Amino acid sequence: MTTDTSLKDAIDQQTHRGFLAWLISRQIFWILLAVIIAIIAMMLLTKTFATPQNLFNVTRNFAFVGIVGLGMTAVIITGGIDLSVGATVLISAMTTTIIMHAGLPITLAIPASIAASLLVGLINGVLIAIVGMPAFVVTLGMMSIARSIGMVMSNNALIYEFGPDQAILFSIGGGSVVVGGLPIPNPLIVMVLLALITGFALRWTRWGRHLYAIGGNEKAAVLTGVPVKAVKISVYMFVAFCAGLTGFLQTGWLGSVTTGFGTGLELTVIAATVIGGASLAGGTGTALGAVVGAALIEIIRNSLTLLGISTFWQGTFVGSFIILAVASNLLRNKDTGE
Amino acid sequence: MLDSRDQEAPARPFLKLSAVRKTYPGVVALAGFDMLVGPGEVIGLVGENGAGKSTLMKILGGVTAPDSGTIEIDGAPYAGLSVGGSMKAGIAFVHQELNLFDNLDVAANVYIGREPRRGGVLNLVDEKQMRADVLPYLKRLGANFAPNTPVAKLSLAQQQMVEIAKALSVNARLVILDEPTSSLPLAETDKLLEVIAGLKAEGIAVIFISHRLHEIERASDRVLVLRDGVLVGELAKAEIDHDRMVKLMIGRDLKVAYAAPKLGKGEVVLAARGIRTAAYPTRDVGLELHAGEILGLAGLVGSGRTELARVLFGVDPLYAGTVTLNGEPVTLRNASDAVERGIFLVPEDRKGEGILLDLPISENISLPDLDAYARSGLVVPALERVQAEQSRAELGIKAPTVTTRTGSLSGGNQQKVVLAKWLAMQPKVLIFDEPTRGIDVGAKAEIYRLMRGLADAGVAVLMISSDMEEVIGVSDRIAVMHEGRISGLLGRAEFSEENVLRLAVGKPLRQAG
Repeated sequence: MTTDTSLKDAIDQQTHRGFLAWLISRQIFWILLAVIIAIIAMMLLTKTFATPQNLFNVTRNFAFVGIVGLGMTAVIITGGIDLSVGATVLISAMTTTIIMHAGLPITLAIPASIAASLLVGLINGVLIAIVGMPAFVVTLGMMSIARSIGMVMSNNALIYEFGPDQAILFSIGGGSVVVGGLPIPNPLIVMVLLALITGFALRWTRWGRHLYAIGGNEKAAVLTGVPVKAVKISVYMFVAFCAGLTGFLQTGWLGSVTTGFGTGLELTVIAATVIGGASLAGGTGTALGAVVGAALIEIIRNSLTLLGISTFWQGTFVGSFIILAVASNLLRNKDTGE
Repeated sequence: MLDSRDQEAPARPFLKLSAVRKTYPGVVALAGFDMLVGPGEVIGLVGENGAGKSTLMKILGGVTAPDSGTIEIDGAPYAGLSVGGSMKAGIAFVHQELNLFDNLDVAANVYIGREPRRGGVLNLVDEKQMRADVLPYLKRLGANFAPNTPVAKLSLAQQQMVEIAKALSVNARLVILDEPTSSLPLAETDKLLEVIAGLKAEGIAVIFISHRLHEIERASDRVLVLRDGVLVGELAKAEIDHDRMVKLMIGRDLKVAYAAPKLGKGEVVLAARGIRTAAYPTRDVGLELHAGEILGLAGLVGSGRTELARVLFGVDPLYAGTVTLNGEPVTLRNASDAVERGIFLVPEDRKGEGILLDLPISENISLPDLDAYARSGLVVPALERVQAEQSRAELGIKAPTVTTRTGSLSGGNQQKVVLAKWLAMQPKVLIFDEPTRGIDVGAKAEIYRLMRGLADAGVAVLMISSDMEEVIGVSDRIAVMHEGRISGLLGRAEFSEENVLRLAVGKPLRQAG
């Protein structure tokens, strides 16, 4: 009530909160625990889970969600959203396909597919940051536009011929690096590197700090001299870059591109980031959270398949986890009186 | 004191509190509080933040029950009130943050949840009846807006009237106004004081809580001063006096509130000429701000003061005109441009625009100048904490650690954090928009001391304020705005409430002699 006491209480709270209490208060701790329990349970319940081939598949699949999830986390930290990531994956994949199918080298396909994706991000960013439209509406529109353009680009053909550099493309997306006798899929390596860079940037750079500031209180950020518009554009370009990377890698992995590429990916990715502790209200989220959230979703999917449970149940599990994660977060915050 | 109260107190008080006590873990919020409120009595309630005012309000509103003591309303005793019971007994609240629905009209706001119905199968809301019903209340309050006006279109004072109309419509016998004038401009404050007088004339009691002692002085029949949960003073009408209230509130004299400038006026630092803003695109406004001075910018809300400040800070577009800094013309396209040049703004809405409540103190301070805390592009938290520790010591920010969440600090300390982030960057020009709104007396004095210290260090300070006491007490010169123009400049010798008010409403100054 009086200033002195609230001060005293605050100090008490600060000092009595040990490491364990801090750990328990983190959503990511619980999700990580769920992932570990799921892995142990699967190892005990099935013989098929812990095989190198299955682990290879699981990690590669979750890497794609994880890569886009890292970009999405950055967007969500600013209080934004990007629904167009799935369609951007298609744009990137189509660009790769068209260039390589025409017999041009992969050294052109990579920058071109990334550039095409960045253009999508730039348009999103400008409409949101400069014109001031709501992110939800802009990216909803872009989701439709980008997918449609991707379809037009495909000319409704299923392409599985990628010219002279086809082998390189397939080995980048579908290949692996053998570490200690275990094959580590390339997309996983890309995700880990990107996660380290993103985590680092979020925590230690000016850019990262500005993201949290914008998500925490955009008006205050503006009045503090944070270049809000530029940062917002950059963040939509960053998520588009992640989607572009995924589109390229996934093309190499699958060896063919269909117009259904990346369909529904946006919701899986948003689910992963929310499970990982990002708040759609902005201001919170971590790179580790995005990765762990993506891992949980993929493990659920894989487990259901291996246990012979209909994949129709997958949505129920993932959805329950989203609601549980957010609800438990809410309850824990109530306990600390905030 | 007691004698005079006995004479004035009516036969039966509307509200009587006896020995009301409320404790929270580790703190006595109210230590045996007594209060009598007679019908038609206006009681000023003052005290610093944390003195127990809000606890008292929560008890009267039925939100919390007292640990001991009794409450009597119209002679009927209550051990504790419920929210519904308090309303039924005729106690109505008008909170500082109004509880209105912006998207609904006046009548709908007054009758929300108890709308008159047409009956029949559909039992629709009878909007016509509702508007007719609300009209007499608006008339009694001297309102100048129609019942079907959307609340979003009303000024703050008018919105307060809607709240008061709501109180009248439930036959309130006691209206509690919590900081009603803290966000009101001068002229609208007068209007509110008139409304209070009107309530009084109808026999409705008013408890008026405010940090603006001047208004307490004008409105109240009796003043109660709370400190640390104890009633430390009760002043009858004739005894109500600003200095006496302050002394009781903080337990000592507060003479240092307004320090005189050490330096004379220096060079012109910031000059704005022929500025046109979005608020008044056809009016030119200009001013010159000198090093070492505090220039007060007075005027009614809507006179274009905040817009001028926002243009000078680069956040609003400049429609026409030039801004020069130390003689050089500058282009300010956004706040980053201004910040780079040492022009800083302490905004009016501290929580909404000034700080990031969820960030620690240290990160709020470093935010505008992260490069200064970075080594090869990476922010070093240790450097942030060093600066924050220094700011904490310099400004006297009361917080357990510099990594404490800023949102958990008191208003005065939050304002110091806003100030700290700019002071860490060597300001040339510092613009304050309502620097002490909602901040209690003790913290106010500290903010004034800091402002004066800055001016003495050669910073040019522009202070927008609607608080007359503050404008006259703190400024070295006062510029008054009226409808997008500077209507007059006052030197210290010409400072008076009347002069400021006349210029604010666009009248010429009365000639001396």
